Amino acid sequence: MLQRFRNYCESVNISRLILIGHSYNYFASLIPYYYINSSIDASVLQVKQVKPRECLIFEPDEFITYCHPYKFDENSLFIFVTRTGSIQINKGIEKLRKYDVDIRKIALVSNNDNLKPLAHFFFPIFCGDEIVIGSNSFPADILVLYFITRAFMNQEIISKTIEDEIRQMIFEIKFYQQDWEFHVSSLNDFLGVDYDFLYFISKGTSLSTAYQGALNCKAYLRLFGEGISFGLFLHGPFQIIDNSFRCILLVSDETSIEDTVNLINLASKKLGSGRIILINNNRSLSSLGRANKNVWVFEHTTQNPFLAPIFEMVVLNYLFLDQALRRGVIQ
Amino acid sequence: MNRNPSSFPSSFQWPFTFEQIRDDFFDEIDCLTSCADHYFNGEFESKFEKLRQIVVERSISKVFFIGNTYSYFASQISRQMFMETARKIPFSLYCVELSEFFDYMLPSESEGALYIFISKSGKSRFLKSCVDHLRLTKVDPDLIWLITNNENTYLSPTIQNIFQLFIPHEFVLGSKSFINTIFVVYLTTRVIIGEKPQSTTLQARFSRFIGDLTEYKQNWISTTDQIVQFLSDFDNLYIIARDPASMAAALLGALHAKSFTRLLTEGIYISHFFHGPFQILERKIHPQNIRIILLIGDHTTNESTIYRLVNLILQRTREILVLSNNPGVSQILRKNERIILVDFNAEIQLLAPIFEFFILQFVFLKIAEKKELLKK
Repeated sequence: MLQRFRNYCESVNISRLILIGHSYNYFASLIPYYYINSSIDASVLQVKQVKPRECLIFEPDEFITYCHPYKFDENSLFIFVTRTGSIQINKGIEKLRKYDVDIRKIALVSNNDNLKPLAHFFFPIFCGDEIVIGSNSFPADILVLYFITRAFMNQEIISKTIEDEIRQMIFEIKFYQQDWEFHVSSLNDFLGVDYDFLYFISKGTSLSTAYQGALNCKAYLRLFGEGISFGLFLHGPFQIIDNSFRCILLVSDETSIEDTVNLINLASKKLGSGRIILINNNRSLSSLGRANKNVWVFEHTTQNPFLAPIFEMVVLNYLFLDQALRRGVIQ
Repeated sequence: MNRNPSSFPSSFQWPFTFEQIRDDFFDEIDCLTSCADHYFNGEFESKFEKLRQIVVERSISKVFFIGNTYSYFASQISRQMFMETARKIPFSLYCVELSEFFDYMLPSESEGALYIFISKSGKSRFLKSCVDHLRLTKVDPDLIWLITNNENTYLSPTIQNIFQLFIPHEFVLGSKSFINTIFVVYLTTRVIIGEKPQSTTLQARFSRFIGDLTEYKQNWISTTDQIVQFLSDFDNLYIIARDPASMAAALLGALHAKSFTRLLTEGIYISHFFHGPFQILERKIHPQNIRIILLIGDHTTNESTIYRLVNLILQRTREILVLSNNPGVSQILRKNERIILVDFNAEIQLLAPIFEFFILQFVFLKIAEKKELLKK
């Protein structure tokens, strides 16, 4: 299917992917958004852009209510991302059909095989059932969207390197899971429960984890949380930093490390002695973090910034589970 | 609180009193009118014409609006305009936060994109680095625009297409500048998507908008008190936007709430609200201290959809405050006693966030006064 998708994109010169999905599906869509639109990471990963390509993402409600599909030319392909399907996803597809969009330019990423007839390309996510919404499907979305994006970019979809990278990540995650109680216990001892709000501050692809983390924090932990980019945080709500400030910093690439360090110092030393959990994949950043007693560093080994959110989310999910126990939200 | 020491007269020093900030907020209408006068009086006609030609002739593939905080929030207006236009346009439009643009979106070669930077001061570190990079990659100078209050920025020799914000000074950073930025973004986006930025109809509608804002200003106390009473001693506030443009007001409103009142507030799009924050209303600890404000800036929204969504929220909370620019929605919501309705009229729907923000800023100021966070 992925190969067929790649051939189709090449044959009809698809240059724009438009992704539409709710909540965690929307956040997972940030992976293709950065993969396709970002130039710096593309060069780091030696992505060769033979022709200009781009990616837009919409939330289904805004797509249905506000977006006029007429503006998108014949080089656009629409991908709906939905675990089970929804009325709004159906409406979105209906809208495209109403505007005579060729069904071959409609794709679905889903766990529900019954949706197959709605789109020409159907990419299953094989995520099974889940008790906490998004727990299995968010990582599965990321992985499948990553493959789709590589196909769209006319690259070898699952190269030996990519396969090794993914298998290694799964191995590391399983390793982490074996000892999760120990890891999370230390993390949460450090974080404590004496706070009412948790910030998830990030940039680039890890923003998907930050947004999903904030959402899970509210939906599942019943604790207020907000996902926010570094830039917005540093120009805005830093005024609320005090000694009870708690945040999770998520970094999965090497851009602007100085700004990350500045933010850490601001939150943990200058404006208060807030506590920060730094989840990252960079050795030098980890070293800088470890030098600060108000920072707890979790360094994972997934170097690929487009896959790192999968590992980041695993760490956060266990952290939430333990926090929920400590707070008496679950038993 | 946001402090802006460099842009107001030296005789003024933080902290300010309630009256000083309130009067500065009152000035926003004159400041916006003055800005509009410059843009409507023909001064910019040839410039707009030139810019339209650039957009048409250069085969632009992407348009970036790039800014920080309130500048970034204000650019959400262009996103909705891009979504809604029924014209066949050959480009995509992106609103990107400045440091995200610097870290990830700087092109490695000229890509036929139009870059519109928004910076009140026109001299931020990232802005300079971005512009320098674009020049190094030989981006056509005509494709770098700047919306700023500083016409004499050191970047002006390299950026020829500058749109001024015409703000004399402001006490609270992002108050007048947010409002004027929305207006200028609105006009520039019209140019980009092929709509006339100046017309007698548009001017007349804008005049009525200013008239409605002025009327609100004259009666601000009663509505503000009503909203403050609704919020009472809230611990957490959600400002929910129904339409993409209203996200601008939701995001900046949340930022101001945090700055003024030190209370945790989040601006959020309605669909995201129903996947996370919605569940938090079910929590056992102090759910009554969570307040919700819903912003409806457009006339597109279907009344029954909104009614259903509002009722879903009301199943979990005592009351909800709705700021509505939609007469149909207002008519339905007014019947419910648990809905506190503040309706306003922004005929130019894309400018509704100005009105929404104008209402909200007085509320947070008043709460800051009540909490004795301002200078006496």
